[in-house]
Amino acid sequence: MADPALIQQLTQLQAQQAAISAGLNAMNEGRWLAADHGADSLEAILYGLNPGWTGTISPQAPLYDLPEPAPPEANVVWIGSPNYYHGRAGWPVVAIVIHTMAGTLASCDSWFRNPASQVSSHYGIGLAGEQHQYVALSNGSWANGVLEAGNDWVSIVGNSANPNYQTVTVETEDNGSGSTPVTDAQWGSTLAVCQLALRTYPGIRYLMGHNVISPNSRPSCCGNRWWESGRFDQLAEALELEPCW
Amino acid sequence: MTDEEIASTIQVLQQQQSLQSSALKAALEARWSGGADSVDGFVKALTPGIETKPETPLYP
Repeated sequence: MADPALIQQLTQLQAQQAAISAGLNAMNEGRWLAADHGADSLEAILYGLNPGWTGTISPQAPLYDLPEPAPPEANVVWIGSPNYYHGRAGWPVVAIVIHTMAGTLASCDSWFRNPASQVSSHYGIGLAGEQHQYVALSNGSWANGVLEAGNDWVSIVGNSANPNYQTVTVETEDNGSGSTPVTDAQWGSTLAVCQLALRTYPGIRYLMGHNVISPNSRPSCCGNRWWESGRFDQLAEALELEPCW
Repeated sequence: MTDEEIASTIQVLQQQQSLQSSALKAALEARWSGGADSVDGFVKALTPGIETKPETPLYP
């Protein structure tokens, strides 16, 4: 017959072992803090195991999901362009149109500053996240061309007026190749300038590809670097706009 | 087992459980590796000679 004191010690050890297992299970299931999970938390189980630790533990719960990186702040450099409409002819701004440059940001700066080009956009976003502005948001840029046959603009927006009056336009650098991936920096800066546009025009509802307006001459603008990569829908979701492409 | 052997075994078990509890406390306080007072340190004390590749979780 074993010593009753030893049996008592063994019983105590069994209870402690069960508590340690429960603590490991709480850890495994992410129940860390008593404030969040009560008696089932690792914190509460440890206090039960060792009442002397009460008030001496500085508990911390780890993260299980990486926090979304904050998009860069708008940090726009004014470049300017002579190619734009003064004002918007009374039309409300309803859409942001994303373009791909088919070139570099430097070439875009030069082309948009040239009066002979007869083209512009509100913003140009570099692959490294540079944010250039060519036209004030209160004016219409010359980025979208005219409505082409087969366009989806009319069915989406409900009018056939010049989309340049009704949009904010964003060109995105691609170094001349539609297969150049949209970088994190470019995506973040595009988001930042779109948020600026939304603060100016809260009535904007759509995020569009240029192909919605010009399905014949620009069927691949802004292209699969935005569409198939998921970057376009991700941008629309971040802006809470309806994606159209 | 004699009472002396049982008492000796109980003493070892108590020491192990103390280390296990301390390891859980270290985890709760985000001390995962880097010294004797970390999860990694207590695991090594529990199982001398064990090789570990500790990874620290993310914290806000």
